[in-house]
Amino acid sequence: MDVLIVDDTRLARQELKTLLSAHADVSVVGEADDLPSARSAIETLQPRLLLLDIQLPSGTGFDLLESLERLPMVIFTTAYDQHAVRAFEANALDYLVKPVAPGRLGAALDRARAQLAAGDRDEIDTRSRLGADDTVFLRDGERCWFVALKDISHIAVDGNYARVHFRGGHATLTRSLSALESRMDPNLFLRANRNTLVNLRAIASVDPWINDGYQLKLRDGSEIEVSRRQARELRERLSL
Amino acid sequence: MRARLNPHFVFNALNNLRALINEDTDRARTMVTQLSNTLRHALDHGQAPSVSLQRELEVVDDYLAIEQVHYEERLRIERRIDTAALKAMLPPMLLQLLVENAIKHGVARTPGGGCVRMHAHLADGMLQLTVSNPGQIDQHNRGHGVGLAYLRARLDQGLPGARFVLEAKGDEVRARLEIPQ
Repeated sequence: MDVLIVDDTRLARQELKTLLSAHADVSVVGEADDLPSARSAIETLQPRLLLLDIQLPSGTGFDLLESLERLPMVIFTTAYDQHAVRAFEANALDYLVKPVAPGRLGAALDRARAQLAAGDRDEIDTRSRLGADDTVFLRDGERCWFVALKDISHIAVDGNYARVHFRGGHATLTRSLSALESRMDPNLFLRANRNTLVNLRAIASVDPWINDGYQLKLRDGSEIEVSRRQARELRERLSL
Repeated sequence: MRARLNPHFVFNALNNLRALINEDTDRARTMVTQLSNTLRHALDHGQAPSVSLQRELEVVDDYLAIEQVHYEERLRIERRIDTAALKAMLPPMLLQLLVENAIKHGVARTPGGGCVRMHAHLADGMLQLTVSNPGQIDQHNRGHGVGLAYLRARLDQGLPGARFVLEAKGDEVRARLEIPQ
């Protein structure tokens, strides 16, 4: 498993390398000390796993994740950070406090191994489209989530931002809808109207609507109008 | 005043120490002494209403040595302390607090790091202390941080005539403290 260590402190990176050396299946393919170097290392080295410090000189680890189009698996490391602990409740692969206890690191690596073995992360290819199991990093204020595309119900444009609805909640994505759409597997999402992308698997019912359109009811209860322009596309995709 | 002990600092120091044990045993041993001094001072202080600048600088030097293990070449330090100022008295931990802020809000957030400058001299019966760091004044936290609130409370409580100013000068933030002697 290829790992990239992102931490601004050389000794902290050294310490992680020492701890990781006990794991024969793990190889540290690179190190980065700030956001720009981390971004380029992720692009060129395409690591499977990031060990990511939260506080970096030019921003936070969350800023880094938010700027990535394709996410490796992520284990956060921090010396002490109440905000981050709160932000994470239930969604990072893991969250380790420094100095890292070897057993806790081992358990986190086991979770990463399990994800790899489950085949969730078969292809890491930056040119391929995002599939159902690919994960995006979402943030709203101090809260953040890793969300698989298959768990997103729909995405609505909200000014310059896209509002992503998932698992009964929502978060804002600072990327335009069209940029996101162009990177996703076209079989996953349908553009229902000018402002909304709908996960085809999230559709509970389809009803005829005014102007030869449709009204979709999604599993999470939200209702989305399908414009006449897109109605034909919907019929084809759902073989209506 | 146990709350003044910054957990981020303590756990980073321990983490660096663990790496240093493998890399440089002598330095690791020295660091244990410096960390002990810093912790003891933070836990004990508050018993004395004031300390000499000389004593306060010893504490700050231990603290800075630990931070230099963490930041390495990213943390540069410039000291200009007038000998006459060493006997001046000031409340404990205030200089330490300013240095801590200079690192946390300045050096740590500047890619490549920067220089923390400490200046002290006596003028017109006042101890004039200046600590500067690279960066800008944090707009979200402008003078309302826990540390500065503590500092201001300390000055208001028992130091009539003392002054504290935080100002931006170009690419530097400068904290100035004046304490009557």
